[in-house]
Amino acid sequence: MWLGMGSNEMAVVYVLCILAALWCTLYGVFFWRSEGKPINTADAIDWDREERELDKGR
Amino acid sequence: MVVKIGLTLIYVVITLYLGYRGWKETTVAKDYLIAGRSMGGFVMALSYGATFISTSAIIGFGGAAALFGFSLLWLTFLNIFVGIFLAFVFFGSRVRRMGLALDAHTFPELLGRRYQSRFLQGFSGLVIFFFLPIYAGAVLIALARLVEVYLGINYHVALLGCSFLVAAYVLTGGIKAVMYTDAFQGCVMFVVMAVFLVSTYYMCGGFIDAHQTLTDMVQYYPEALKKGGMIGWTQGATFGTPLWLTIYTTIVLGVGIGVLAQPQLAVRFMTVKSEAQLNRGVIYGGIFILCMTGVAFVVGALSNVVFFKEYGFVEKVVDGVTKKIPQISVVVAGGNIDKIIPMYIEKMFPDWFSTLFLLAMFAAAMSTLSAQYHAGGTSFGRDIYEKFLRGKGDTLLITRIGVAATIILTAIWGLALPESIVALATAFFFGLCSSSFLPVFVLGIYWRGVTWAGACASMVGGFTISTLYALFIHQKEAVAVGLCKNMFGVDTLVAAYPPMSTMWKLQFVDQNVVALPISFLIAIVVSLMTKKIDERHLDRCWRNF
Repeated sequence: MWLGMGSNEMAVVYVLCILAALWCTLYGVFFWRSEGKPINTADAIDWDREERELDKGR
Repeated sequence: MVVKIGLTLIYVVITLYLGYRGWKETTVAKDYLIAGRSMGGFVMALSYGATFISTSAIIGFGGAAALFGFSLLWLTFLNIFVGIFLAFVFFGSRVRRMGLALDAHTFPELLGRRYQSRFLQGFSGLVIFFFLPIYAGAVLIALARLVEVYLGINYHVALLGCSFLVAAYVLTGGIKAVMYTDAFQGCVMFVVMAVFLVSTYYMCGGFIDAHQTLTDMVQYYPEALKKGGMIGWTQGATFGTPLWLTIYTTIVLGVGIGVLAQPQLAVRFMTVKSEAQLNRGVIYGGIFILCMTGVAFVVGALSNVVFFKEYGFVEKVVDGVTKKIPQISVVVAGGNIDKIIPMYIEKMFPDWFSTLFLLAMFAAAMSTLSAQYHAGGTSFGRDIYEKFLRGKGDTLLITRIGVAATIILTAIWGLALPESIVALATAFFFGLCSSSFLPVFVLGIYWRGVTWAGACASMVGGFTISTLYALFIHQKEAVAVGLCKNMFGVDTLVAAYPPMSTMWKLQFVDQNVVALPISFLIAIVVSLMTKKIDERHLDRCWRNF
């Protein structure tokens, strides 16, 4: 069996844990500076008023 | 003792200094609730990881790994791949973008504004405010027990002292103080766990040799576990047996998937200043989690090798016959799995390391507890009082009152709950959050078609099914609470079915496996049948995608 484990399943999950952390590292390095689509911050919305109107509507 | 007290004092002083820094940088409610949306990836990811990993994940689940072996590594894999990668990349980014579009400051507020529903915000806030303190109380118990054992302080004094210490910086500095201290505590945990892993492999004679020795020890594997379906530490469990169901549904699926809908974790995605910080956080988070649960499970399993190498066999007279008992972890710990890791540290490591390890456990408990106080407090102040009840006043002050109320509730639970409740309370809260919040949360950020009615039905339905299942079907919670026994005279409603039948096995299946799919189904079916949300509002929600 691999890695001294008693079953293939245990060897696979052991390797998967390391690969998952490695994958996270590669992803982070690759997208280190990626900002994605520009952000539009919220408009000046009066949420309290809007929520009250919605409550009346329901 | 002088070294212990000295190191503890240094740790407390650094923690309080970081709390003070958080307080100095907190001037408005936005700082207190979501750190002014200005955090970096390193602090955010370590805070997320340290909040996620409490003492029970290391001591409790590490001890469980001494019984169930490497099969628990599926949980580590899910923690990294689902809890970090999927959570940050596929959820974190959209949560941050929608949070900015809707100017949301808490997890319930994000849901409430997404669905234009004050009820959803209030209901989520109520679930968090009333049930999070049970989980927090369990973490507080673990922390107080550590202080009692480590510094010899009376348990009740330790419990109240720990509450005051964490309260001091959460109340004043809000989430900034929480995240700064979490990051420091995460660093302490990381270093200690790395040393823990290397030392254990060294004591076992090397990497492959350690695993091989454990594989060869299968003849000493406890018979009781074999009857439940386990084969060995490095062999796993037989498919469909009660222990297979316990490992793969409660521990792996329940906790592994449950992390996605934890309000105290999801809110951290709204604290970062840019998308790049989230991407960088994936690196720190992935490595951190591997070094936490990964190390705890590997060391927990390998502790059997170390104990056996050290003690071999002990002769005991059982029923008049002398038997050689192999000194595996559970035997050395006298059958109490929560004692396996502490005994392993005490017996196999030098004093300086046991001191550092205990500090790391303080760090693990305090980082989780501080985030729970903050999440509970913001739910009370922002979501219940200000939004649901339409109360008026200064947001910052009301939220601080909410945090104080959460701290008091947690202390009450800490005093009332039994010591053995830690793992149970954790699993229960994770299950409750998944069934109540996950469908509404996931569909809310990915599907424009989910309606207000669909979201409400899913959240209330998921909450109800999950709670009823825990109280009447799932053995661990049902037996601990005892309501089923009082009402119907049986431990669970399925216990009377023939052993090994499908119905009988349900008592070992986590509530998530049943309640979560039903909650998703309710959200989808009701949404397809009810009035759609106004397109202009949906455009507003989706404006940053």
